[in-house]
Amino acid sequence: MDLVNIIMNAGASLGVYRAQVATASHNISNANTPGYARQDAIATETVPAEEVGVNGYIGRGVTLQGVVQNRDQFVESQLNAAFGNSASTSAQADALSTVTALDPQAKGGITDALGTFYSALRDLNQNPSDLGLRQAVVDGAQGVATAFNTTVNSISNSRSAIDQNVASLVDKVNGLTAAVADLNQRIDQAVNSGRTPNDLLDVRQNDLDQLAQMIGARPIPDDHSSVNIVLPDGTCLVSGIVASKLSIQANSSNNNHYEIVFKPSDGTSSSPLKNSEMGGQIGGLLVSRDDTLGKAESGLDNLAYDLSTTINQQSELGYALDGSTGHDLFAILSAPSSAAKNLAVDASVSANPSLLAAAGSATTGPGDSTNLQAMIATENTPLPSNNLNAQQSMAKLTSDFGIAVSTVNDSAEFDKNLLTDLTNARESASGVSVDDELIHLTAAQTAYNALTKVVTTTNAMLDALMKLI
Amino acid sequence: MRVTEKMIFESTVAQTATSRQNLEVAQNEVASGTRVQHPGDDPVAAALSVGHTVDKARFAAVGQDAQRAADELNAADTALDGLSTVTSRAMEIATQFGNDSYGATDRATAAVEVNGLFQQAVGLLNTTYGGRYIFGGSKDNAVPFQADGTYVGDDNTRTVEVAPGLYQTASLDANNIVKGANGGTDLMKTLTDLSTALKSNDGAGIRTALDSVNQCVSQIAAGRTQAGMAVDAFQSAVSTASTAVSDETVKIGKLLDADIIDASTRLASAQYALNATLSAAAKTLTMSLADKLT
Repeated sequence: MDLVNIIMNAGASLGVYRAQVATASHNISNANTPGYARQDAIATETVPAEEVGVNGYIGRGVTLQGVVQNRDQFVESQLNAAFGNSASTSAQADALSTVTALDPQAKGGITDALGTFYSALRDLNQNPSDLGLRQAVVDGAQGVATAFNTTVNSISNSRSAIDQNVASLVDKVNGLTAAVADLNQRIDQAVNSGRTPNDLLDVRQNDLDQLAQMIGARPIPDDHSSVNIVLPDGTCLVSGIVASKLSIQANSSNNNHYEIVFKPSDGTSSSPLKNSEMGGQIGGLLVSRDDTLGKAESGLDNLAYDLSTTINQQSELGYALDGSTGHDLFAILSAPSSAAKNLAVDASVSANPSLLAAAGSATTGPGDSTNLQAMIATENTPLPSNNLNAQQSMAKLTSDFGIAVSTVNDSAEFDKNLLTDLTNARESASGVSVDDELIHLTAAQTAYNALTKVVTTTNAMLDALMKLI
Repeated sequence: MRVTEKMIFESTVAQTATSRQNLEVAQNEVASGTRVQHPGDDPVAAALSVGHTVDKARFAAVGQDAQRAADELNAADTALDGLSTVTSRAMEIATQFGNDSYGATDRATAAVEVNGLFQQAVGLLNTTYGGRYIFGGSKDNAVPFQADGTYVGDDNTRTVEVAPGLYQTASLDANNIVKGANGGTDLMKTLTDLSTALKSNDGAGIRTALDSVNQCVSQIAAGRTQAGMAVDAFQSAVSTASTAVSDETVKIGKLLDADIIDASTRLASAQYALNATLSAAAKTLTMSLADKLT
């Protein structure tokens, strides 16, 4: 090998170390960038070596084979589901933990109101003609109605707040799916031209992570370099470079709460998605809204309807102070739907407590409390919808809600820990260690410095040779 | 495992957040004295507390109403006590003036006193408590005994709970005790008859009235016994209800209240853990090769 080739090879090798320094610099710059995967500038011996003598070879230096990402596909394949599950259970836990309507020690809650109402009935039983005590019963009944109104409104407001949250997330999902479709196109173009667009892959991976968190979407790589995105039930959100859209619409059969509608990119008709077809934050929020909170709301409706109907049925049998009969204590509700929201004291009894039907007969005097005692007994009457009395029904509602919250809290903790383990595994495989990069930087710098010595030494040798001429 | 700076940062954030969350939970428990603030904290305790809260209110109401019933019965007993005095005096008069040694003038004078006793009895039997006539039966909003002794109340008695669902008679049947409706003797008629006999100087009539007064004394005594027994039952109910309210309060406390010693210990532990986490983070975060390279 002549001296000029040595200088040429050394010059080419300097480029490899410049690339390694640049890669280390890029890695350090992106040490905290979400979605970034550490890159390696891979150096390899330049082949073929120059053949010298009979069996001798002299190498030609080093060549940059490429700059590659470090990703552990085994970890990546598990992370997607972990993102979706953790986001789903965390969203549920967050949504449910803010609902205080069923707190056991909440003042003015239904439990307190029921206790106050039946206490007022008992007080009136002691002196049925006392108008002050009759007013206290009306106030107690109004307290029950208000407690139901307030509690169900609180739950209903929580459900509406979830609607707003879901609407915002749907917009973000549409933005991300459009971005992934665009990235698919750009990545395809780069790959088709023989390059590896590491940074575009990072951006797309970050978008995929967010889509998993927001809606539980799964990436399915195609035969080229694109990824298709599907919902847990298989609905395709992104196919290659084409993204479908999601939208929201009020669902009249669900108190006008939002449902999510899938708009296919091919222009075919839109269709609403079932809650079970989505995961991530959106899926979790919808499950909280329609399952846990929806059940609590319908449970309150059933309880309000059954309780008021049972008390009214007994009230109608009794007689007011003026001997009239057929009076309801609560305004009649036509159906369990929205009963808790609409529960109110009967207007005529509210305006005139003497109409409270305490007596069991029209001929007895105002001190008769026979019917009042039957009304007191309704606190132990099994209600039609669940065969439990009012107190037991309220305990069951509280228990069902509490168990749902407790279970989802446990699940959220488990999913969070699993996600932490997997993100740590991802970070371990793909994350940037600044210490590592500084060492790589120093190693590349040392090699670079040494190669410059090779060039100056070889150049000195050439000078010496030239002086012989 | 390869550990990067980002892992250390994020781990520090997570550990600090966990320590702060534990600290906040313990701090809330200590500050509020409540362990179960949300049904999700302990679903079983939250559900059980519903029953105990309603039971507590129920026992409190039963106790309060039993006390009122006892007070009212005491008022009735006081009235009957006054009626006993009336009948005792009527008996004395009947005994004294039943003796034929007394003449028409003396007996006419005694008749005036008996008329006064009659009015006194009417007054006692029209006693009100809490704004209603306690001897009127269910017709407690109007005077039950008219000036001539006619009873316009009814024989319905009221009942009040001594335990949830268990009722005890809480009023006296004046139609029976005073008017002798069920084969007894009518006190008002007896006093009227005595007065009439005294006015008409009818010795035999006076002695007949004496027998009737004796029967009325027995009826009133029986009424007082009935009132006394009912008062005992209600006082017992008051005591039982008070104990039950205390029991329910304790049960609710056991279910929902924080164990302050345990919560304080966890608070101290959480403070220690947070302190340790922050100290460890402060040491770890400053370690970098960049500081060592020159």
